[in-house]
Parts: sequence; C-alpha cells; structure tokens
Amino acid sequence: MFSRIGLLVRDLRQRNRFEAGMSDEILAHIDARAHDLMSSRGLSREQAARQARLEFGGFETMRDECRRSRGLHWFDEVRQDLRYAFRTLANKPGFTASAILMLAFGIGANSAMFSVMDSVLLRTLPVAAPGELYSIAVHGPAEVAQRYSWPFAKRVFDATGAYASGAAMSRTDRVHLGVKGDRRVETHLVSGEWFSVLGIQPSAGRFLTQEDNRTPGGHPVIVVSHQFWSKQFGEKPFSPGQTVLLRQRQFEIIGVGPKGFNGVIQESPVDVWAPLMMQQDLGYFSNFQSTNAEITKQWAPQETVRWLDIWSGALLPCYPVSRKC
Amino acid sequence: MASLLPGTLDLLVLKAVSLGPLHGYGILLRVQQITGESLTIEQGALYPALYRLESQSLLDTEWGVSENNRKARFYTLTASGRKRLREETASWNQLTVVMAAALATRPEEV
Repeated sequence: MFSRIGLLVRDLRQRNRFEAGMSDEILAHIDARAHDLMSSRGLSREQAARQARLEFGGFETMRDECRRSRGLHWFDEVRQDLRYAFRTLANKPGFTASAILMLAFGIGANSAMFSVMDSVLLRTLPVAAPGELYSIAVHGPAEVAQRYSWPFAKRVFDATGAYASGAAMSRTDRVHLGVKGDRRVETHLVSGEWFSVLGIQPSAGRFLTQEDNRTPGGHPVIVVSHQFWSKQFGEKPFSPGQTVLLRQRQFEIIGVGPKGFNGVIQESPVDVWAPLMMQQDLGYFSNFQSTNAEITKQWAPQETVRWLDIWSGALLPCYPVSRKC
Repeated sequence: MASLLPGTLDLLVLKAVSLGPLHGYGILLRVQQITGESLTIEQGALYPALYRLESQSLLDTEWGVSENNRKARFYTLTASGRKRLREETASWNQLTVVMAAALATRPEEV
C-alpha cells in the first residue's frame, strides 16, 4: 500500500516524465510490432507501421486507463473541475464578486466576534493569579454602586488589609500626549498598591509604590506599557529620566510594564499608569456618580466624588457598610 | 485464438515475466508462445495491467534498449511478485481440479 502511494506521489511530481515514459513505451511497442509484420508478412515499412498502429487501438483511451491504474485520475479530475469552476466564475464577475464579499463579511464578522470572546472570556489576564483578582461591587437595597470615593476605598483597605491586598484604579478621558496634544493615550490612575495586587513585575525600571501616592499633584511619575514604549521609543532601551508631556504636564517614566500586559480592561489596552494623586492634572473619567461633588476642590477627602474601581487580591467577605458610602 | 478469460491476465503476465525480463510487446509474444498460440492479450488491456502490477509492487521496471534499438521499458518480477505467482498458480490449479470434477458429474452421482 505504501509503495502504491509512493509511486503515485512520484508520478505526480514527475508527471511529464510519466507521460513521456508512456509515450516511449507505446512507440517501442508499435515499432516492435511493425518490425514483426515486416518480417512475417513482408509488408513495407509504412504499411507495417500503419497496421501496427491500427492494431494497437485507441491511444488516448489506453493512456487514460494507465493513468487510472496508477490513481492519477483523481487528481486530474479535481484539477479539471477546479479549472472549470474558475472559468465559470470568471465569466460571471458580478456573481463572483458578491459571493466573495458575502464570504468576506461572514468570515470577518465571525473572527472578530471570536477575537472579542477570546480576549474577554477565554483568555485570562496575564497577571500572577488571575483567578484570585476581584473587582469589588457594593450591593445595596436600592442600587448597585459601581464606583467609589477615595475615603470609602481607604476604609475597605483598612478593614481588610490584614489578609487581602486592595488597590484602586480609575480610567481617564482625553489625556493627550505631547506638545501638540494630537495623540490620545489610554491612561489609568492607580493607587500605589496596584501593581503589587496584580502581582506583576516590570520589564524595565520600577513600578509605582505607596510613596508615589502621598500628596495630590505631587508625583509626576508614570509607568508605561511595553506596547507604548515600543511605539513611542522603538528599540531604545529604558533609562530613567525619560519624560513625556501628558495634558501639557511633564511626567517622568519610571518603569515599563511586562510585555503582553495591557491593563485589566482587555478591550482598551492601557498606555500609561499614573498615580491616583495626579488626578487633578489628568482628569476624571465620566463623573456619573459625583453628585454634589466640588470638582474644583481637592477630591481626596470628598465622599461624594465616586470615581474609583476597587480591586482586591482575595474575595472579601460581605461587610455591612453604612448607606453613606 | 480465444480471448483471455477475465482474471487470468495478471497471472499470465506474471508467469511470462517470471521466465525472463521483457518489455510490453515481448510479454504479449511470450504469452502467445506459452499458451501455444491459443490465448492472446488484448493490446488495450496490456499496459494498464502492467502499470497496475507495478504499483502493487509485483513488478519492477527498468529502461533499456529493445531489439530494434528503441528505448523501451523492461519488466521483471519482484520477490512479492514471485510469491503472488506461486499462490495464484496454486489456487488456479485447485480451481481447475474442482471445476473438472464438478463438470464431470454424471447424472447417477447426484
């Protein structure tokens, strides 16, 4: 059986040689027969040749049978069918174009959907223990609070600090890069413990710590994602002191995130992580729960400025919290 | 000349080649010779059968030169070809014995 396949493969690859070999063989056969006819019946060369050819019968039929006995007819038939199909499609360009478009849309839509599902459902975050990372939500009798104030976050951290690490983050809006401010960067404001709660290591430099989150407006430092560094600086190796202009304020890049990590919201890859304390310079992200908030005043002690997501490295037990939060 | 019974073509080809390497036309002649001019192979059936037997590894081929100085393909028996010839000959002989006995049955024997 393998020899049959081997022979078939060889014939396919050296098809010309196979065909030429068949022709040679047939010619030799007819020639031998003609010689016999000449010597046995005394025919002339031309008569003998003609007779031999007649006796042999249909050339192409026999050739086909030989190809068939080698299994080549499958490939020949497939090739012929394909050629016919292409010819027919080429003759009807309108139909072909619309069929191709429909296929393209269908395939495109499906793979886009799969990519989203893949990144949201199937792939876990490239952090230390993605199964143990939780985003906190508060369920109350009336509403599900989604974002929290800084004093609330601090209370949560204090209450659970003994056995679970917590951190807060907020997205931002309209953070523009550079002097011209023409390029928007996806920026997340994070508390000092953010990176240690996630359990990741920088690929260069260092991450933010508690020290970078003490005084409002006093820490113009950022960590950038690996993707952002490559895009902005290319192959240039990291060195401290590199600055970028974000919303017209200088920020020093103190570290670069691990390759492949683009923040915790997979649909929006993060470029920059900045300390929470730099909120005034970089702006809120949609204040949809800041009722009675004094936007111009310092946000830190204000209970009504609710803008933070709270994340934790362990499942927090249900704490009865006063309605004021 | 009677035409070939179906199924016997392969057997005759193997036998012919077993007596010495031959090209296609030579096999045709040899078969005529060993059957005492009684059986002949149809020309259109010869080469497909040879190609089939080669793909079954019963025959080997080699290019050579014919008596008339033409490039021709010569066939020889492989080891498995030899084995197949032995087996087929044995079952053919057995078949003929059985058939002969069946056809010689007289009315009083049933």
